[in-house]
Amino acid sequence: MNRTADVAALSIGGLEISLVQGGRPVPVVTGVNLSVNKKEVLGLVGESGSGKSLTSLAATRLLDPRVVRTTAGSVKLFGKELLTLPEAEMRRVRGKEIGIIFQDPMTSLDPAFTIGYQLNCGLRWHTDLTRAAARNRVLELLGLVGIGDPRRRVDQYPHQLSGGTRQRVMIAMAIACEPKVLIADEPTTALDATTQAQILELIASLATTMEMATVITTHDLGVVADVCDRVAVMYAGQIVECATTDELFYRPKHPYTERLLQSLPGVRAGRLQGIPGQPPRSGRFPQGCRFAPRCPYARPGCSADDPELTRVQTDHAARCLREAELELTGVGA
Amino acid sequence: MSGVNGVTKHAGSAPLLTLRNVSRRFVTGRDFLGRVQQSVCAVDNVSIDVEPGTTLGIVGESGSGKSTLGRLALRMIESDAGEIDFSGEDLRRLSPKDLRQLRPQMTMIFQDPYSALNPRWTVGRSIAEPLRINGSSTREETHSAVVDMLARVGLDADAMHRRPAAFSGGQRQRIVIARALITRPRLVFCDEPVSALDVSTRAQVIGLLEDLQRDLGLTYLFVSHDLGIVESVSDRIAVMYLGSVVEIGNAETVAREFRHPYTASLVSAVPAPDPRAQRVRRRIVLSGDPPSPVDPPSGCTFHPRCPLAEPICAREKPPLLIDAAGHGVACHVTQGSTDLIGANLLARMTDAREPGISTTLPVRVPAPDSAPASASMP
Repeated sequence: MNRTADVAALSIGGLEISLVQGGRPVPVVTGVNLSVNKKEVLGLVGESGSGKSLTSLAATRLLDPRVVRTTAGSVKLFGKELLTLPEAEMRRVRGKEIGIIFQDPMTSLDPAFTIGYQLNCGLRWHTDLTRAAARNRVLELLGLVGIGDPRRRVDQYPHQLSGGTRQRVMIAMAIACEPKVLIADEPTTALDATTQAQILELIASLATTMEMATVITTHDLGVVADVCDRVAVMYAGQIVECATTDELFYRPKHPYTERLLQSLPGVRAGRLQGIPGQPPRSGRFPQGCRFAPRCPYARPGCSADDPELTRVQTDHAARCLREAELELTGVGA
Repeated sequence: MSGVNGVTKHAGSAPLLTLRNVSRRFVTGRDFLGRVQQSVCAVDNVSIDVEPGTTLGIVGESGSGKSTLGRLALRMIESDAGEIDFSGEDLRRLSPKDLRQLRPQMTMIFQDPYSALNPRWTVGRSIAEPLRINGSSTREETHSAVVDMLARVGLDADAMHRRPAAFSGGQRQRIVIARALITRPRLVFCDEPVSALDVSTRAQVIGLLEDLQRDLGLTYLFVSHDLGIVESVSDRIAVMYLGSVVEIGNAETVAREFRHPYTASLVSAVPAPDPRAQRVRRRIVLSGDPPSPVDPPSGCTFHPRCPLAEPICAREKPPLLIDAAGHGVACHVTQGSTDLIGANLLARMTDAREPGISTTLPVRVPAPDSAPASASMP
């Protein structure tokens, strides 16, 4: 997949994440392979419990090792292995080379400090900017993420800002040191529809102008339609389909992707179609294809054999035993 | 008591719920003597009708007063002015005792199914609680009502002995719905009922709400910030901005032939799950945040963010003028025009957009050309 660059900006291979609380580790994410190139935006889509956030947090080693641990696989930043890096060196990577935007701007900012102070902290830790230079950089960053009147805003506290502005501050923090990789974990879930559009457009344009490799996780496929170049769909701890955005939307090859698209308002006339049943609980995955119990196309064989993620085209892979025989409906059919 | 089990639909088209010029102000700051220094007009002079058996969708950003309006309509909070009529009863004048008798007919479904259920109570106890408060059923009646309700919302009867922690978000929302419907209400206020749920579960819960409406003849007041969802469930839609209804009409009309610039911006903010359509479509990304309701702008409250604003918009607040088809718009600019509708209005707004802060960054996917004709909605 690395056609534009020899080495992917971020590549995750064979990642397995397990719950380690009490007794034997229970794998909750298995066999995840992903790679993102410079200037590319990858959407990581899945329902709650699918492992999308765990995957993105594992890439930055932010998982709490007392609860969840990366038990196998590798995470490489321009070919450099991150999982075995000493913590002291990892701290130099986090925030400097990998920027992270968290889901909830309400709880990710410290209410006791001004946003200027919080932006300043990371900057001065990672760089040798002087106090004055750092302050100028903070003002510049606030302007860059579209916050009006940065001089006034910089001395305000998080509670004085709206949800959208707080998320902009989070973005400013993430890009402060001009990272090469940006990970946005459900950046718009906590926001209103109008603000959501603004924030997505901002992230996408920053990814282009700053030449970052970007991963956006979300549970809403509609969100990624226009900002992502490629989309990986996760279900029950596995990637079930991965393709370019157009391929995935117009020619889905996995029943779960098809059903997820049909769940969105505006895709088909009349009633919204949900997916019957519930996703399996983390770690208690069914035998064979993990989606089979909810799949309208499931055959007895589906619960017996474990499907592999197989390439069906260049830039399109799906994990379905019946992929070749199924005619799935995409968007706008 | 006028029919606790009143599933009977009103004949004709007498509205089940009527709000006339309802307002509510919240005090947000007092001086040291306790005098009001600062207040927020959360709901400002709002009039709506809801026909029995239909769904009125209320859409707006956070802080627009949509949830407050719903709470006022159920008299969960008191209104400052106006009239609220629920099936012929003037809700604002009812004594606490009469109001309590009417309560079972008006219930509520909350946004967050994780905090709406008591984690220490069994599901059965939570669902039966409204009947217990009502005090009109025997143990056996209550039990069979709970079993029946669980079946209606698609849960097994043995769910009643378990606690909320054993259920997923979607299942918990089903429990919350069961609790809201156990008293056989006529009006249900759904306050962002699916915002906290995953996309696939969301569609399930909406389908369930639609089935229950049909089977039980329910009337919904459906509040959400997502116009896509509101459009798919509603018969009529009211769009709120800073406490006022700026546009109201049939769901189809408001979503396709909208005439208010704010509705247009909401429509263009709905993510279309179609990459190609999304690329040719030009979004109106509103610059800035919604203004503070503490100090709302003069005239039309939307004018500072509106690309079409004219001098009059800053001076006078436009009235909500409703045409014969029941489509109401509060906008000086589009009221006088016959062609500023739907896609045309959107095209005009993107052309008139000032290069604000949010557009100074290079736009990732530039529109192929800038002819207004290319800006049609998908």
